[in-house]
Amino acid sequence: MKKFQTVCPYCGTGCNIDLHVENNKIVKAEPTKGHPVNDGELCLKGLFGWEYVHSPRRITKPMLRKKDGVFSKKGKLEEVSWDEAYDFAASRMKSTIEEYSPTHVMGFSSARCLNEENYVFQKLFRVQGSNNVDHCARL
Amino acid sequence: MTNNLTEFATDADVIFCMGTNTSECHPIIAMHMLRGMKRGAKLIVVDPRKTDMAKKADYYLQIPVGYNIPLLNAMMNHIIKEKLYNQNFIDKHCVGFDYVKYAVKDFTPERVEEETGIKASVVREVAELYATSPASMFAYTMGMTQFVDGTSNIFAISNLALITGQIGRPGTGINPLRGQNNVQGACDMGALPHVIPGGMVMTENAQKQAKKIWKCNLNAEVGYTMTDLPDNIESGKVRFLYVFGENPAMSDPWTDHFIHSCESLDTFIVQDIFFTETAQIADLVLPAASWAEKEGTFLNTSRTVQYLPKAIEPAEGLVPDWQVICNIAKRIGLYGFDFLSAKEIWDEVRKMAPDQFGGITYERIIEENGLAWPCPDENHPGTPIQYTDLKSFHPDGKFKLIPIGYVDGMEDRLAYEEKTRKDLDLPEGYAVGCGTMSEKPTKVHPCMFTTGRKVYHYHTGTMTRECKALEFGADIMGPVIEISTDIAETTGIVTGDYGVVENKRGRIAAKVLVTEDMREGTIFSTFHYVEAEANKLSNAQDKDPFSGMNPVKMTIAGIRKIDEKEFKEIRNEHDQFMHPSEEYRKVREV
Ligand code: SF4
Ligand code: SF4
Repeated sequence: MKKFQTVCPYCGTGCNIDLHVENNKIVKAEPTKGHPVNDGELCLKGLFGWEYVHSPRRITKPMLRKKDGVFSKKGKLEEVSWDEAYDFAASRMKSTIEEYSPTHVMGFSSARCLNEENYVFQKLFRVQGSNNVDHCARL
Repeated sequence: MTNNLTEFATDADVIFCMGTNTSECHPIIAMHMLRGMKRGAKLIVVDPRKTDMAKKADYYLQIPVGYNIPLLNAMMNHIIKEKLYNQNFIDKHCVGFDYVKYAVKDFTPERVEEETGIKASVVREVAELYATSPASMFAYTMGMTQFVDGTSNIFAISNLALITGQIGRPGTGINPLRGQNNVQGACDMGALPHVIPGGMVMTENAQKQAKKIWKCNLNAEVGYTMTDLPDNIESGKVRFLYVFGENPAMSDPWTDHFIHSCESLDTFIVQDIFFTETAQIADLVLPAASWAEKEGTFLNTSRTVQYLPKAIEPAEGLVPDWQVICNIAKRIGLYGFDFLSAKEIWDEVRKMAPDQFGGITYERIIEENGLAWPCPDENHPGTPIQYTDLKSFHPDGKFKLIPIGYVDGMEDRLAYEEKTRKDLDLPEGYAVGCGTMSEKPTKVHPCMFTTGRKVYHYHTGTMTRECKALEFGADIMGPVIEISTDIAETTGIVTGDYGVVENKRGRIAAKVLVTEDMREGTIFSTFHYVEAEANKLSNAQDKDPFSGMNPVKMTIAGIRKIDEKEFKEIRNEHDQFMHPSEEYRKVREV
């Protein structure tokens, strides 16, 4: 069994959690002892809120809306390769900016995700000339 | 937060909580507050709902929804009348004290009593307590910001803290308790239309940093906000939308309008770990590794950068979100996305905003159990308490006091601002704030409807509802509509009845709980459950003139009793559903 000190993914308090991992599965969460933020305590979300990581409903393959094998707004979401998914995302973003303008693209970033992820996400928009980036902090 | 959350326990003599249901939303911060009370600190709670903390408080003021500015102004009115302000602090460090005097002169504690029934003597006592204690710490959350006058609310809090000098010392300060784990980080990383790490987009510094490090010309014009998005899509101004790690089809106010507008997008990409309500309407869905499956950092509500290690391997084929984003950027052919690790990204952030993050390395974060910004170099200890030098971020180092008024209706705001500008002869560009009700109860919609969260669940429930201990935990009741006793009397609804809350935007049905803990005329529900989603009714038209925030916390609505048959019909209107199992659908007992 291995133990990792990490940070709770729920509220902004940022309690520290010791995750116990066995065979690549989280088996238990405990408050990090003596940590200044939560001093050996956790709320229910910190104690039990990790189970979703192992949920069978996690998605693992990209999906593209298709009809008769090609992209269509009227189609259904079908599993595709990462290669196809990346090509679609990149070419659509590029063509929207070329055909219209950089401000015709917008991104919603996430207050649940890492600093590093928020940073590269807004950078993706800004280096192409769009400041249309926001997140759900207001909610 | 200007201060560290542990100071509630260790330093504050008075803890003033306004619009925060701390024990439900921030249980560990509530723990620190209760430890502070054991030490002898006094607790003041202001909220329309008699929350757990309200029951434990030394003073509880049950204001009507949205009555924040009149109360804060009345406190300042009394503080000024009795000369309880900190003259020395005001003289040395503030500008605009006369503006505040002008703005609060009509807001007497007696007026509060007249308008709300809260005793004038109580208003006076809490004002005196806050102003004169050695260290008073102000805490608030969305209960203060989710209104058309949210920014003015915050100005009013800041006025109060400044005229009494309750800032810059342990146990004082202005302390928003962040709802989501990394709101602070998302803001500081530039996930906002007006700012990048390095400053506001139009500033010289931001322009310079972008050129130097990103090798690009930064657009100096502020981008669109999220609240404008549905309109911008419908008018063709936005044709490509990329949503990352959020579920706006559920959390956005007036969700139907948002969902409907998304149909007109050319391209709609959603990146998430689950097939959320939003992912289901996307053109392209990109999965990713989750928390615990990747390394990186969060910034908590005390501005402290904390480290998360990779604890487990994700399923085959899954990579961290940052890698998905970089892969797209590289296919477009963009420069500067060849990062090999999260640490490399963080090191670029440090270069972009050296004054803020320069000294915060991964090594130090781990070794020192987190580090608070600003921390400009590697020998700097970090800044758990801001403003200890009593200097603001403005060039002259002074804190600005902003005149904040309160008027009867939305349409009177402009006139107030103009009159104030003229009366005070304000310098060009000086802010004026003004509060008001965005909607007033009518005959058809006689109640105030407000939203919030519960201790077991979190936001739209995407994650928590996938955790059995939380979804089916001890006293979870599923979605519930709470109503005050006077509404119960006039409508004849009793606890356990089915009820439907409706207004011109939508309707939700659930079992009803009648509670004495709410101010009269108030209905409350949560936004965790898609089968009865409170945001369907929320006001997404009116906006805060400063921040663009919608008044999610306040809308008018009516409620009526329905039978089981109608209840089921309404529930079935909501077919979009991420949690399909029967257990989730089942109606649980109240
Ligand atoms: S354990 Fe509870 S209080 Fe602590 S960060 Fe997580 S959700 Fe917030
Ligand atoms: S007011 Fe705006 S910038 Fe400041 S924390 Fe809230 S969302 Fe972020």
